[in-house]
Amino acid sequence: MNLFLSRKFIITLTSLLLLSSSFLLTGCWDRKEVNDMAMVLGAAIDKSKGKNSIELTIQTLNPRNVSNGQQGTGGRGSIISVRSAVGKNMADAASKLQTKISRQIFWGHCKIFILGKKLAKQGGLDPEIDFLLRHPEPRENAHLFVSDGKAADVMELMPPLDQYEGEALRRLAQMRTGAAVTVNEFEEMLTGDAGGAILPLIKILPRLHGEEKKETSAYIAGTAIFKKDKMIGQINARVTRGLLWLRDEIKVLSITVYPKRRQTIALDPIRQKTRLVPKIKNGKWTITAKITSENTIVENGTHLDAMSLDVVKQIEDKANKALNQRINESLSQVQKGMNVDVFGFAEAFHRKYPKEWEKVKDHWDKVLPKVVVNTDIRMRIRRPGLSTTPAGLKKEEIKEK
Amino acid sequence: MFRRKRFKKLDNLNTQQVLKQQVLSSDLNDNLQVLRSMYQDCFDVVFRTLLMGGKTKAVLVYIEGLSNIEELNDHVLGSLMEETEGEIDSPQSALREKMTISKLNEVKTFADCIENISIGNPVLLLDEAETGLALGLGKWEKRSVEEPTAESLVRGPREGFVETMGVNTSLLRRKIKSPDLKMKSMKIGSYTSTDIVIAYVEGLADQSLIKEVENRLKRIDIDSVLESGYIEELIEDSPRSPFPQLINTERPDTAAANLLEGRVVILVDGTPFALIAPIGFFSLLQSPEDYYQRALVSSSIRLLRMLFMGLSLVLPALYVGVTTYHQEMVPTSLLISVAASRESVPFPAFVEALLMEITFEALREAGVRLPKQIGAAVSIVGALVIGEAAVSAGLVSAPMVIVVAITGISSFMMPHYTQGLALRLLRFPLIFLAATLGLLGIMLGIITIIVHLCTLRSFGLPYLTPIAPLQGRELKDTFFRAPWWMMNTRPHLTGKFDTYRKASWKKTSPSKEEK
Repeated sequence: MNLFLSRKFIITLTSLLLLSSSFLLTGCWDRKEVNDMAMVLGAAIDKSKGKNSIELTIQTLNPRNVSNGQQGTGGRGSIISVRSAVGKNMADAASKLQTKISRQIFWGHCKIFILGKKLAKQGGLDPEIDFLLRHPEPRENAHLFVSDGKAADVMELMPPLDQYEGEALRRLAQMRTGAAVTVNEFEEMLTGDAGGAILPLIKILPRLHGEEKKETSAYIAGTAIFKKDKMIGQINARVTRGLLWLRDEIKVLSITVYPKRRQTIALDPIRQKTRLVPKIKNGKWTITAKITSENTIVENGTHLDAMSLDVVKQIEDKANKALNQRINESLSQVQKGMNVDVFGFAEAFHRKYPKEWEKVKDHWDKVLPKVVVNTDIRMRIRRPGLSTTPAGLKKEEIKEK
Repeated sequence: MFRRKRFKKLDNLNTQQVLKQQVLSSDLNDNLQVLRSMYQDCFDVVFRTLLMGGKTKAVLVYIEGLSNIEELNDHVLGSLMEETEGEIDSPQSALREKMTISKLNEVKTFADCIENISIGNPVLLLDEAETGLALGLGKWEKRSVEEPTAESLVRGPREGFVETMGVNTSLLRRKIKSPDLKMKSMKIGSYTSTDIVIAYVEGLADQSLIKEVENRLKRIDIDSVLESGYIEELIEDSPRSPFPQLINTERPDTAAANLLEGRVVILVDGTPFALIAPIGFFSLLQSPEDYYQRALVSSSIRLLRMLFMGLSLVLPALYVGVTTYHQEMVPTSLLISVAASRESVPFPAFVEALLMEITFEALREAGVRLPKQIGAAVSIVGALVIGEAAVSAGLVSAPMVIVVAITGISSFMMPHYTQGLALRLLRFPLIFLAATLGLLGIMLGIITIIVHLCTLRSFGLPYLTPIAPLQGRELKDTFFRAPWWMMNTRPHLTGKFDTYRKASWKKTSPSKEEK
């Protein structure tokens, strides 16, 4: 019996061929080679001059200019190219952009989206956010920003450290020096109880003397405050910190306290925790922000001995006051000034007093200004740093109280 | 259309067979005639006629180069040709007393004659005697025991099996001195009549397993066995599977270790590769050195091996799948450099991968087959072609070269060459699946492979033991290698007849009395 000509063998071969066609005919439909696509690395959405239309600006990767080890350092030009198109909505603008780009637009690596301030202030961001969440390619964990000027301008910047502006902004956001909000989080904030949202506000850093026009980067200059999907105001970086303390999102920031006039001690937080404790008593709504923070001294510009317990206590008290002041400042600007709840008060009340919340949830913005916010701050100094006594002082000059 | 054709038996084989069954006659000339006709045109067969004691006619038949001529001269011819006084009643018994040879056998049939002559024992035929004498003077050129080249170790015995059965059995016997080590012999191959030895340890190995091995071997009807690969394919459970269901080893220590776990070792004369049955998938991932090095080191090397086994199977497919379907899964900065290096490549990733993998396999094969002196040249050319020139010519991208290189290295990491081959082979369908269906295809492929592995049996032993079916106690010697003081039990499915290797689960500690 010849194995290769037997009936069984022929039947097996035929069925294998038929089976393989199920792969060959159905597969490959969404095949996309890396060099057939235009990788979007950042996108900016601006209000366009036309009525009800937006301008979408994207930066795409220009792989020819990426320097890769072998072919010498530095490309012939920027590794990104910027294109923009005007459309009725995101999808429309994107498809118009596609007509200008010879490769298929790929959103999968776009980690930042910048909204123009004008567009944000005009409101009605729902369609854009919906596109970012509904379209399969854009990432839900992409960071959202509001640009102080025209967002498209940011796209064209060539940051000195990173390869492209999208990367620079993503790193900035991840460092959490200001607010950092992803598309997903923004959507959650908008649909949350409070209906207030924040987005980091970026400005273009003024270029230094001798730098080319575009050779600068953007930085997080403050926070844009949203009520529903409309931007209603902005706060500066200083006030943002108070806000972030309440939202329990603060990170890598040093606190300066003034134990004596013109003398400073700087603290670096090691870990901190904020808990919002709501309370309703006799129809009076209060929130207590319980903040505990552990710090290390990184600079001591006073004559005080940081090893002395009395001094530590004194510094802690001062730090408590300084932080309290920060928080009150942001409360007065945002809670009182803009009457918007971006602190998570609504969620806190909803969770603890669901029945009471049901009554006020339709007119929360009337209740919010009346909510009393108390703070219970416990700053602790855990480490005096690497030196005990203040530098450059004789023993007699050091005060232990 | 293609109906089975009846096999035609070879005619000349039949006549040979008939002649062989014949009994020796008392007429020396008749016997000689038959033998001469059998050994017609065999110039290496020597018929030495002599007069025994000056009276009786005798013929010594042997094959040149297979017998020890010096001893033949000294101890046989000398004593035979001495003049003897008086009449000898029985030349046979007289000879037995006279000749100073330890091994003497009586032969009665031509078949016996031929068998003895073929293995180098000269046969002495006497006039007027119905039996001949086979003299155990076989001696032929053989390789000495050397370090096995296919399985080299840093730490471990340096001896390996050779082509000679007697040496191989002695190597095993030197490892396991107990008389419980049994070796059953049989011959397979109508032309080669190759010696096959089934070795096992009585009391450890399953009797039904030994019977099954014997039965399968007995069923073999083949003209020749030149290597144990013949036997392996003829007795394994699923010959169409790419995965080997018997391990071949050149190492006596590996063979002995498996014997002690209740397995059967099949030695084949003429090859240094012994077969071990039954085995599981995870035995293929174990190197003998795992048991000789420190447990912690061996365990981590085993984990490394597992990782690279996976890599050798899926890495090119993963690269193809991810770069053609799932670009969003790659970190942005990595994708940027991949995109940059792929920019000038004219092929899709699939073609690129196939091209490189096939080139690599060709280079590997060329390197193995070529004489050692040329092998170096091939590897230089290969390194240049794959590594440098192909990239700078813009034919393939640098990441692909890295992928192929890692895959190559990981397939060389497999301690058993045969398994490395299986993984290499399966890599190609996986690349194909990845190119058509992306990661989904890879998953389909892997599931198919796992299902296939689950269905495999090696002499009835599930191939994926001890993972499927799960044998908790045996995990000590699967992903990790437990220290020897914890390895107190034999593998359940092969060693269940004598479960305990050692008395208790205890390590040796300093004795208390020394205090």
